[in-house]
Amino acid sequence: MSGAPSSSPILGPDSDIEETGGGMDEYNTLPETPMPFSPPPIVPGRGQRAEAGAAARSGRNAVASSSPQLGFSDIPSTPGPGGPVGGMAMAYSEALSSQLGSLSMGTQRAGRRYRGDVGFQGQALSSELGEQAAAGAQPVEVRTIWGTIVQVREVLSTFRDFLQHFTAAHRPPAKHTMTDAELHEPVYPALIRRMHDTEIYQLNVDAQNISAYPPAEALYRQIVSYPSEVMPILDHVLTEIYMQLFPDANVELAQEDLKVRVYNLRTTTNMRDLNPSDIDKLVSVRGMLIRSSSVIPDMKLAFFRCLQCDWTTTVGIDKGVISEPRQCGNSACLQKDVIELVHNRSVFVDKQLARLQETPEVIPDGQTPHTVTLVVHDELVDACKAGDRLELTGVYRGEPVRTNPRMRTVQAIYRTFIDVVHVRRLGRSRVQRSAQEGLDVGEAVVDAQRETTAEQTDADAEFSEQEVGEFRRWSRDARLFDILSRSVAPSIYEMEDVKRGLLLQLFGGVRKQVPGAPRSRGDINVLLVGDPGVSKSQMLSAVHGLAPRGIYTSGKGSSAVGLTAYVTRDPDTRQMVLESGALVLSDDGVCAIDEFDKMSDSTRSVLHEVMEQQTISIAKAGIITSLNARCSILAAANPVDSKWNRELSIVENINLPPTLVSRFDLVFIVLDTIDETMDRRLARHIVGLYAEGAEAADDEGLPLMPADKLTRYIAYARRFVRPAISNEAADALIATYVDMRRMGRDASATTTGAVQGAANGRVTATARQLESMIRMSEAHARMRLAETVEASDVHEAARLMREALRESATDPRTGLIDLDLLNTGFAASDRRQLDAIKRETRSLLLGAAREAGPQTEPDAPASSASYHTWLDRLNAQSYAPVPPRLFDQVIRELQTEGVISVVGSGRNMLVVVKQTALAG
Amino acid sequence: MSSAARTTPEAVLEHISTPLAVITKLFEDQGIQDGSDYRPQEFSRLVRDHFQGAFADAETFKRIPVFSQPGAPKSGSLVRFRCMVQDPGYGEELHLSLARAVNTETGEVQQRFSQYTDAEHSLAEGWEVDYSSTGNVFTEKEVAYCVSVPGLSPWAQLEAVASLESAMDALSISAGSAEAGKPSGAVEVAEHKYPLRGERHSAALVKFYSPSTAPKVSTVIDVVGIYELGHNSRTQDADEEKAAWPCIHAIYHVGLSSGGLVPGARVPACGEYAGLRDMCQAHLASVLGGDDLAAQYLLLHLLSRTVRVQDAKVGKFSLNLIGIPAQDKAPTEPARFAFSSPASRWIGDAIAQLVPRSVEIPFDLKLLNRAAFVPSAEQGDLQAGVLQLPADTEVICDETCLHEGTLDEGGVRNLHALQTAILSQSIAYIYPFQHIEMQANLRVLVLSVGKSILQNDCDLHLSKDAAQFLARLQAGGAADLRPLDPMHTEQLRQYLEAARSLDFTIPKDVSDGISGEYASMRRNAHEQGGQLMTQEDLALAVTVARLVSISKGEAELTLASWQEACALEQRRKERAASAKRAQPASSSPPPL
Repeated sequence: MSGAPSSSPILGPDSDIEETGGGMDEYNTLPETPMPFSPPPIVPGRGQRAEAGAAARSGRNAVASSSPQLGFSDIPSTPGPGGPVGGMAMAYSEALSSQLGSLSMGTQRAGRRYRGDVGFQGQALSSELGEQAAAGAQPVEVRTIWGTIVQVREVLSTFRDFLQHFTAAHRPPAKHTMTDAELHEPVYPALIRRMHDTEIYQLNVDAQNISAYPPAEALYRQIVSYPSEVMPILDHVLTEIYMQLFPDANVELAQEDLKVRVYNLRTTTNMRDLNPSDIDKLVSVRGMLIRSSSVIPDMKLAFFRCLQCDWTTTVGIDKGVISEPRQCGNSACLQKDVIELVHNRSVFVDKQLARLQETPEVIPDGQTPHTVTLVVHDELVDACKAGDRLELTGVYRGEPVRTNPRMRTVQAIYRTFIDVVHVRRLGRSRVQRSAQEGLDVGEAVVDAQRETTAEQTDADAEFSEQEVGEFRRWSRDARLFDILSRSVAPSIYEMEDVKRGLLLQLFGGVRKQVPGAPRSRGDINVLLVGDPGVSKSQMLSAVHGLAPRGIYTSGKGSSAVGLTAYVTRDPDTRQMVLESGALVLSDDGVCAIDEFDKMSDSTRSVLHEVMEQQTISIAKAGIITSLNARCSILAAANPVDSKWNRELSIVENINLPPTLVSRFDLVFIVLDTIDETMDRRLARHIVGLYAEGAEAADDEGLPLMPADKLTRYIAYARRFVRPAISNEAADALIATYVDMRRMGRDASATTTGAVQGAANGRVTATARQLESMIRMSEAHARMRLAETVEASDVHEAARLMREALRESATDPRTGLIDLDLLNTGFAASDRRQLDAIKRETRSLLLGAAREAGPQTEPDAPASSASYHTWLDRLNAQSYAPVPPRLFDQVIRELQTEGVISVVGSGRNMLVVVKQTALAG
Repeated sequence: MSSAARTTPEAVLEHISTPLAVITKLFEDQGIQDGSDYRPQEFSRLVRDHFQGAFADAETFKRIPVFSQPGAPKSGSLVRFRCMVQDPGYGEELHLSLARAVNTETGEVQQRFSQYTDAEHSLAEGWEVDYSSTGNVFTEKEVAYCVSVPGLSPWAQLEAVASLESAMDALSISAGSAEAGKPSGAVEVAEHKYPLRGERHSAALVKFYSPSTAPKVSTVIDVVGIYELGHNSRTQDADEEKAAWPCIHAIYHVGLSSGGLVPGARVPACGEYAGLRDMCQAHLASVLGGDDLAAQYLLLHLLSRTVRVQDAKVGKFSLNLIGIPAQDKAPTEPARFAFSSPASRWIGDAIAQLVPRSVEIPFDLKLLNRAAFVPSAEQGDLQAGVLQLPADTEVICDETCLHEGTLDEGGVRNLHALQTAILSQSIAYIYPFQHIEMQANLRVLVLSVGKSILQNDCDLHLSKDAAQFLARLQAGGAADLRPLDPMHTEQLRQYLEAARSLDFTIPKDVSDGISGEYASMRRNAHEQGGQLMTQEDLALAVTVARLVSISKGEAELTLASWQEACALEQRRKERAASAKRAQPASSSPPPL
């Protein structure tokens, strides 16, 4: 590939170029044509601009000499190798090019087609095509672009063949529902037709399709190695075929260039591994767009006019600089410093600078993320927003750091960037797009034809076959649940069920959207409550480390704003921007909230919305929006009295409103129990951690999955496994649910008698529990990487659920499970007591008020005393102390009934009996 | 590598004053005719080995001028810089290290070699670079922003500089005002890229030539390279591009552990540990007004080091000394990263004498609200935060100067970051759209009047005598501390570093003994209705036992050390209990 090909001897630069000085030695022209060939591929740093400069110069040359050899005006009439069809295409393009030629003469755009990402084009092409015309009937010479192995004619014919004949059958998707006829239907003509309908003149070509098409295999390598040379040829072929299909579309084409956008290369390069050998090659990198500049109008051709004699000229960009002519070129005028730039006749293109940052998965441990600069051109400008995860295909470039007008130096330092050819968004943008926004052009460019590539592109992209195979092997292990749950926070001893619950949370259920109904969440929320010092926080941080995406936050320090999103003013642009808080950031992940009980009320109210609706509504500073927060919440809370009181129920033990507690699928109570053998083993485990270097081996010899592998496993399962519930599992779910509901009756029947049991109204399972059970069964199936939920999944989920309920929803006074405890905060036994207290309180209050005697004003407070006075008086007449919690509830209920009103709060709360209540 | 270079002083001088000439000569010796023969990575390795060989000897090494010293180094000369990598992702550059020039008239071809410099070299009339030639070779280099090591103790700084005279210079400068210490005249440093904002430091862009890559963030390295005033390729802005930055083209670099900063790193013999421990303890006790227990705990704290086992962090031992006298008046001078209260400064200085790196954070509201504790790259490049510190840095927080006032959002975030650093030994570097958890290995010591607002691994109440002693200091009284003689100080420093890096194991029988003791303690406590020993208590006790063990130079835990640790813990708890009793009972629990 080095050196000049034998058939095209290198000539010195021609006189015209010499006059402009500098840089001409990059261009080696062929003897037959005055048009220079495209520069060789290894021109780091000067690539784009130098090419642009050269093209502009040659353009000027063309204008001055009024050469007819412009653009596509010399497409040969020799029949193409594609047979009669190709011949027709040629005929069409001839028609096109002549028209183009005339158009371009009129606008002085001279038929040059500029593509920001690969530079000026059409040079090599037209000269080669001119060559073909010149060659005429002579035996066809093998011509390659200088310095490359690219044979223009071969590329032309191969790509044309590919576009016309590639079918899905060449690269059948692993799973498809296509009929045989569909499989053998050529893919690209349909897409080109759609291109015409949508008027988006971009064709996204999957590079893997090219490499899967046997005749075009070499083309793939050529595209990757010489994008600047090959891509223009591809564009040309596309134009031809398009013209063949839509011969009437000429006019539009004069303004809109058809572009081939290649994507999905076989390999994705890690940003860190880009090195000098990748310069000017097509590369594919992944990352997250972290910032993008505003659109820069990049002048590619300046139009100058002489103020004296109206002589006009155009100057192209040369190494980033447009040099204004110092002297009028009109030989009759020759005035100096009278040249004026005419803005609206100059040609501008859109350009945007952006930065791509590595995503956390690929950053080596303990290192900071790398970034790479992107230059985005034309249609791709503003196609993606900061925060998007992208896979982009582009040409890696180098450019001198300082553009020195003096040519006679060796410019040592080059900065690198990527000229973006194609952008593909990975995953969805976190910020929910409002419905009316729809797709703008840029997005359409990105999204167009996505479905043709189907899921297989996504599927293979991030997980290698080998890795998937390994996951499958793990998933078949009978001890899978044990292995995985032990691998969650191995340094924390025991707590098997909690770990299992957390593991299911990590896998998550399947998100369901039934038309006409609100979508139902698939995320499993878990609450850990328990004694201090039982490593709840470690558990939280372990889960946070394993979750594909997640935020760890403390309820104590975070305001509602910190958890949700807030609006700030961007210091640079003075624009309002929405900054995401923890919940939005953990969309599609786990949000771990420590010290959940210490959270302020306003924050909790936000959590209500998040935990059921999975959205966050923002109405601030003129921005009204709803953000997705489809995250599982893992919360840890401490008991009110720092130590768990076994005499009290969960609601009494933790300072959380029951409405919030009921939204957790699993509530685990972790207690510090005394058990000598357990203590001994736990101590040995902890001491073992200190014995440096010694890996604490598992007692039962279970293999442990390393944390990074577990993370990948979870990510894989979450992404690709969507288990559906089998009939058998559905039956099991129903049976379990009915069992759980019946449990209350049966259990109480044995203790207090059947009749009373029913009257007790204890609730042992509600529809919420059924939903939770479905989610957990799904999560369990997903963990097995199974596509269907089976009865065994349901049983395990139900077992775990009962385990959690047994601890959390047990009424400590009766020892029975009562879900009302979780749902309303009051168990059935409480309810009876409550009614009694209420009766007494009412009579006490009313009695006191009557004693005070009626007053003149009808609505004036009849009698008032502080909250505590009433409580004390009630206690004085009661044989058992009245729990403040229940009294609180009684006061609230009486207030709702309109018997009393309450003034003030806290210590100074006054209870006032209403006159109207007295009258009644 | 040439052995001649190692011996003759002239050769050393040549390497220092004109390193580029030496490198060019090395290149010419390769006899490379064509770009295809040139292996830039191998050549970089060759240059590295050559210079490393030339300065292998510690004495010769010391003759290399220190970059951070006052007086601008000459451009193109060899310098060394002991620094912390603040931002390793400062950008990548391609370097045209071998260019082919062509004479446009004669067609003659010439090779131009350039490496370890960013300067453009001009070509003679008629010559031009043939950019299309395959003879051009590009190499890659990574640029990192490096700053002086934050919190380096004065004695460790002295060790870094070359000779006695320059040491004196450095001292006189550090005694002067902050402005006087700008490293090389006109060159400004980016303030926001130094963890301790506002403190005197020097900074340079260090360029690492492939195959060397920029070391990980926040590591401490010794760089030897060629100094040059260069340009910042990162910025796209034309104006900023013109500003000159001090650059060091790294020829080689070596990573430094904490121990590497202590001179004469001599490992004490096994028998010496006990004596050194007693000496260290006695010294610390005299610092703390004769409080023996506090001195022991402070020693254990200084010996602590966090180790990661599976997903747990083991061995962290942040200490809260309670009972330091409060500072009455709010400091009038602008908040700096130095203690103003005499008592805190007394302790801070004593620790700085013993450890190579210590950072003082006074909890002044202004400073807490204003300073960024966490490094952030939201604005483009990575801006340093106070907690961006190399591993094994001692962080001393003075809570005695905390007064009533408003802690704003920034302050809350800062304290939260510090708390996270204490509890999980990790610091979240803020990058756009993602936070990157970096493992930190900081020892945090909190000095406070009452219990600290931060949660620490271990709280220790000072004895009454110690509190009175410090109160006297606070009131302006002089301390009658018998100064340690320099040789002893040096021994103590070596002792601390050596003991800290000891390997440690717990034999099976000791482990069983501890487990049994734990179980029975819990059973007894349960029977008597006392306070249960929790997992966390056990973990702390084992940590103390480990530290007691290594303080004696023992790599294996013995039951004796375990019992000693338990006794220490017992005494500590008793003190806490008596301190609680001494305080009047707090007001009745708040109403519902």
